[in-house]
Amino acid sequence: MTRSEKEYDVTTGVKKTTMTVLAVLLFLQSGFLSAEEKKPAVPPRAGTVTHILGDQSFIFELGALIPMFFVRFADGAAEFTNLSIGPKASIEYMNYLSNSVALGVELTGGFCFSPNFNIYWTLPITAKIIYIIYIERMQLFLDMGLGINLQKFLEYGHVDLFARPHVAFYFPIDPTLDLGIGVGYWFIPQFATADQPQDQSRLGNFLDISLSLIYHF
Amino acid sequence: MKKPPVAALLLSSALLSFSCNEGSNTIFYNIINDTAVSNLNQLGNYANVPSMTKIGGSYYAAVGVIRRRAASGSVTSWNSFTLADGIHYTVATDGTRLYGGVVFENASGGLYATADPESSSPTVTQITSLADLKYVVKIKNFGSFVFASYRKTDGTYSVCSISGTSATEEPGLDALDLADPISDFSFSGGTLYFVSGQKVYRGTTEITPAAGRAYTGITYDSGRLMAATNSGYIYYSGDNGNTWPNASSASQCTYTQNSRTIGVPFSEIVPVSSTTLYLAGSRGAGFWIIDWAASTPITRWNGSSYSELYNGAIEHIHVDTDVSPARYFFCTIGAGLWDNTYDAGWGGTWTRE
Repeated sequence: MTRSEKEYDVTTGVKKTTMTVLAVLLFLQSGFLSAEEKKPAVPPRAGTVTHILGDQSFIFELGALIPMFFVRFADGAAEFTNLSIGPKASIEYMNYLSNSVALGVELTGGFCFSPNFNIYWTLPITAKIIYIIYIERMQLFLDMGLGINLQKFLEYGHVDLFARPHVAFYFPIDPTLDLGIGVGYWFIPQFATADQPQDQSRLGNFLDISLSLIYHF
Repeated sequence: MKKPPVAALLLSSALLSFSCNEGSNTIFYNIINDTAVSNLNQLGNYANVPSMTKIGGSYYAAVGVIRRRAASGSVTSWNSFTLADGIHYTVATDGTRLYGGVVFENASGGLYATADPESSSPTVTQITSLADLKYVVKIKNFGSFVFASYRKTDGTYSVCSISGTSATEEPGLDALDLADPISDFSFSGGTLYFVSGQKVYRGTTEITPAAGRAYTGITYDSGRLMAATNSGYIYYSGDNGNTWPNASSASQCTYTQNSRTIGVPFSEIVPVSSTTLYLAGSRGAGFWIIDWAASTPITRWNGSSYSELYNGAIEHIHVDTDVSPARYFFCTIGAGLWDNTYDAGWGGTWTRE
């Protein structure tokens, strides 16, 4: 084989190799073997909403108010409340600071019956801070409300301080609505006034369990 | 025109409805003590029951007619009968006969007695020995001694003693020419004590503690004479009314009604059996408890959760000491008849007859 013939063979070999590589590359890029096209169709996931500063919501709650017990400040003894389970409802305005933190103002109303069917009315007004944890599509609300509680029993009224830690789970229905269930615990410290016997001061303990609806707007 | 802020209006309305009338007890305390009332509703929860008494095994209440029920057993219903055709408003007994005061349509009245009140058709006798009787104001018994205050046809007032089917004006009272009703009286040790307008009497002797007060209740018990006014004062005397230690120092008992502070209009005072306490009824503030040994001798009963009794107009308190513990009946105007036992404290259940 002459030198020129050798050079021709090498050149030809390179050309052949190059052509082969190019063909393979073209073949691969043609998508013939693409996995995406061969995967079965999957319905797209529901869209999740991310909240930013300034997003607003109303929360509506409806549930049961469960009187737990009273604690005497004088000696720490617990007493039966002598009240029935009653209904409770609330409306809250919430404003997001971020996707995980929000502030709210809540107005709640509820009542319970005494053995003589006298009604104990309660109307807490609270400011709340809410921390939100996202778990898959669910939201876990951890919030704390502090405020005042307006109460009435027979012809007597009184205003006490009020604290309510609260936990709720929500499931999204659509981008503007979430449905959930929550549990809150009420602390109502009631101190006797100057004209009342001081040993009548008591800490009221109540539990509320509510269905809840969030409307985002 | 701007639309009114509806939410603010609703919230304001809610806040106003929770106006802070604090009361004498905290709300939680009232709730805890709001024990169930045994509401029999036999006499009517809103009946006027100005008077009641007990003979033998039955209670008798003046409720326009006479209502009677067994004092023991499970029967709680009240049967009714009348002594005459009119409004029955005061009853008492000497242990044998039931005496009743009845007022007629023409504003006159009569005094009646029956020796068989337990009968379905009692035999009734009208006591006519008081020729100048216009109408009876009140009948009360002190053991077997029965007295009645009454208005005469000449417009003056007096007291008579009743024995059997005869009544006799108390000696000397005619001469007093009392122009004001004798709203209450008490009898002990052969002596009659009574109140008439702004005066208090022991027999025919005036023993008024403080001038200018309208006296509405009087009682003598265990050596202590007490006179109550319709403006919140209760005076006491340990020497038969000769002196009244608290005549100038007595504190006025008041209560709040419609944001006004009012002197308590006391009505009647009765002793609490086996104690040194007394109960003073009032016309509009329930009943009050008197303990002369306490730093604050007169305090209001703290049962504010029983609002109709707590704010009731108590005209008469009947004490049944035949049972143990003794049972106390509170005869109210417009709130029916309430009762409970007392044994170092009120029983767990108030009964509304």
